[in-house]
Amino acid sequence: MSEYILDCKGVCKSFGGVHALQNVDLRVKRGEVHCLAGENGCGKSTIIKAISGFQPQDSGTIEFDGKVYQSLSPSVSIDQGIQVIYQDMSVFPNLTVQENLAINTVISNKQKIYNHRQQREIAKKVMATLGLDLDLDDLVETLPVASKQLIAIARALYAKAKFLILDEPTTALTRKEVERLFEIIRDLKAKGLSILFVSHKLDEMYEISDSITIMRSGQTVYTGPMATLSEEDFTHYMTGRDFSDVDNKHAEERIQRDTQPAIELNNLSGSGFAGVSFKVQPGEIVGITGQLGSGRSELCNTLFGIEKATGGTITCSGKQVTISSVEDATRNGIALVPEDRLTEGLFLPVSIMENITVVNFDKFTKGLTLDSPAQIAESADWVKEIHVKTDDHLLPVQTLSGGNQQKVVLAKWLSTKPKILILNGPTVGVDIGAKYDIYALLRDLAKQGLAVLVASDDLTEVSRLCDRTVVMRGGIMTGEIADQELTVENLTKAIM
Amino acid sequence: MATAKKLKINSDFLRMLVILVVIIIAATITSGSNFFSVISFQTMAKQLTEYGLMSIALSMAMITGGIDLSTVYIANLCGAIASLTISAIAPEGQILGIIFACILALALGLCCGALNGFLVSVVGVPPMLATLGTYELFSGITIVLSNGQSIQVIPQFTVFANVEILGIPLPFIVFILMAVIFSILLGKTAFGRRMHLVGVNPKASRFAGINNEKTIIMAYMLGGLLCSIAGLISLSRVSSVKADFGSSYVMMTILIAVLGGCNPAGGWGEIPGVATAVLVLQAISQWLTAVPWINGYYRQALYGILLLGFMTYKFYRDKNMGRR
Repeated sequence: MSEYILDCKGVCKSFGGVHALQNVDLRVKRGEVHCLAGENGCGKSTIIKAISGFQPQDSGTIEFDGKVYQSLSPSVSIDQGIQVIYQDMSVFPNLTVQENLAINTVISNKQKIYNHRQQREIAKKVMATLGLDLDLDDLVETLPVASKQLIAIARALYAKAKFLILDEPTTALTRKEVERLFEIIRDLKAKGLSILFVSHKLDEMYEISDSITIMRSGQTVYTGPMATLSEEDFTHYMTGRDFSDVDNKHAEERIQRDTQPAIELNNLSGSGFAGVSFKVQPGEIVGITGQLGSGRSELCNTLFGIEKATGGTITCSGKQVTISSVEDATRNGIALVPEDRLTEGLFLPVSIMENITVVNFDKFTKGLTLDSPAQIAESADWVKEIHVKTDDHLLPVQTLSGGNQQKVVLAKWLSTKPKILILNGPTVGVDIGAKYDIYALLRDLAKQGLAVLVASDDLTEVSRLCDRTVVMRGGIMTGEIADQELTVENLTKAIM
Repeated sequence: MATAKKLKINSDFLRMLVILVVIIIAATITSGSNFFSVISFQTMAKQLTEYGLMSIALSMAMITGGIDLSTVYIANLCGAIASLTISAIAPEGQILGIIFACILALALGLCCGALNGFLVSVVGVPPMLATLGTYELFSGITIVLSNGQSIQVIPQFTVFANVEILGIPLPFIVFILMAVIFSILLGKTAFGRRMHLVGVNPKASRFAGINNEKTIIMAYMLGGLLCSIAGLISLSRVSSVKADFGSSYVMMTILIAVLGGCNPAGGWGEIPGVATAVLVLQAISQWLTAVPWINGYYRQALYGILLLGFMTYKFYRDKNMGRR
């Protein structure tokens, strides 16, 4: 028996002339957790689709459990014990937990008559594989993402999975839920399962993986044990670029201590948070950190007039202000890069140009109509200024990668010349390269006197980017961490 | 690439223009003088104005991501109010009284539209249900006002629909004027672009500082205004108004808006395309009347085929564009 459960050799796949995969090799040992990393669009999902049989490769072979396949089909793949857990597509949201757990077995038994009692027994057995404790009659859509994932995993295990592919499983999970998932993964590994873990979060990879394969532009660029891979090398393989030391903050030169704070919150309360007080000086980058549900997003939205404050005061540059609408916020120089860029930050099918200039429509109105040459010129300037990678800024914004989309959201708000820039989860779903670009840009803006507020649950990001951070837990501000104290370890302790 | 962008906006317009020309040529060949006479053109021009204006009103609702089923009933209510006011204060056709009645009707149209917009944006009723409700309400009020009968207007008022300038009927001039005004309003102004963006993604527009409520209410109000103009023209043309007059226009306006390039899901659509689609539909209908060997009963079936064919074509085009 071979040492490898999965051995892909020279897998190629192209879509209409675009080479999505070029001679990709991917080998996973029996009983190991193997990490598959790479930026968006590097071919991670394409190789997974080949392995799971949804989109067979053009050439190359996939050897699984000793058998060589020229191409796999979904049913063969599942029969052989390959199971893929997608982020949220693996469950039926409008069915109950019981139905979700039992459905595969019921279908594969080719049972014609639906039997509630029998189904319940199957569901209980499936739950037992992971030791889950869920109410079988709950609708799955009401459950947190973590539970949905566990349901999908339990179902996969009951279907006699030998090889589990987890596609970015931690994206929507809180830190605690990630811990739980990792425990389960270690447990499964101990039982002899092999796991392919797809991710782009470096700290998680170090925590859970034995070995790693990094892909870039459809090719395998690195494969080897996880432990010997340094962070610099990782970034290098991921992006093909090297980044100079980003930890160099130069905080003290930047922060304007002698002026009035750009924004000061006094005992501010709103839906989802209460009693938050802090101030931000011009030139300062302040974090707001806490887990999902800690109230950081609600705080950001309240400062931007999306939600209403219920108590306390907001003072902008020494003047107390009431913010009850987005117009109020922008008038006072507040801008927000929202948490969900796809639904809140951007009009996806609309041009990059219009996405950038939408906040300044009034400025571009000449007489009665919009002055579109001026609009186009301004947008072109911004695209150049902050390096949005695109051939044409009149293309829909959805043609851009995540990082470049985020730059468009930034450009939109920077064009209003804000005094206070709030960013909620500024680098979620953003490639490493674009992430560093955004960090550099924010530092640069702060140097020019902008007050920057960064709400994030990415502790590495907070510790690297921010001069100081406000910690929130359960809607309450529990303290501030600054300077030398601002480390990932301290933050981890503080947010729990 | 800039030209491509321009083409994209106007492609629905161009397509409709091509279809219009093809139909006119085909009609001229098959029915000759029957179709292409001055009288034929004038009947055509008068008829299309009413549902033409309502189609523009509906298109605006559709662009913001909604729909307006109450257009015809706003028109009838405004027509009824105008007619009753004229009978009350200007039974002899005094011009001031007529002007007052018209202004009253237009203001009522704005209010009806405001109610629709308020229900949709502030209360948050799904547009289809909100306007279905106001459709019942407006038509109910008209029934009460008219005791379920048709209301006759004084003969002097019917003059307006028959005025011709250089041989072109006044109603048609009104339609062209409104089409131009609303093309500019929707295509070239900040308000028009905001309306589109609200339709694309209301959440993102809120985060971009657009006042969704105001924008949606304005869109429905302008729609109400257009409907009341349509109501006045129809009152003048047929010299009477009834609560359920022209109820078949409701579906027809939806057909026109979609043919003209409005996306039923909101966000896309321009008035030039819609206005041309109005002409296309009227031309087809005229053609059917002019050609002796096609029975007029086929009209509805043909409209159905047209809409389904167009939607299928659009679906495939969008799908292919998405893959690229």
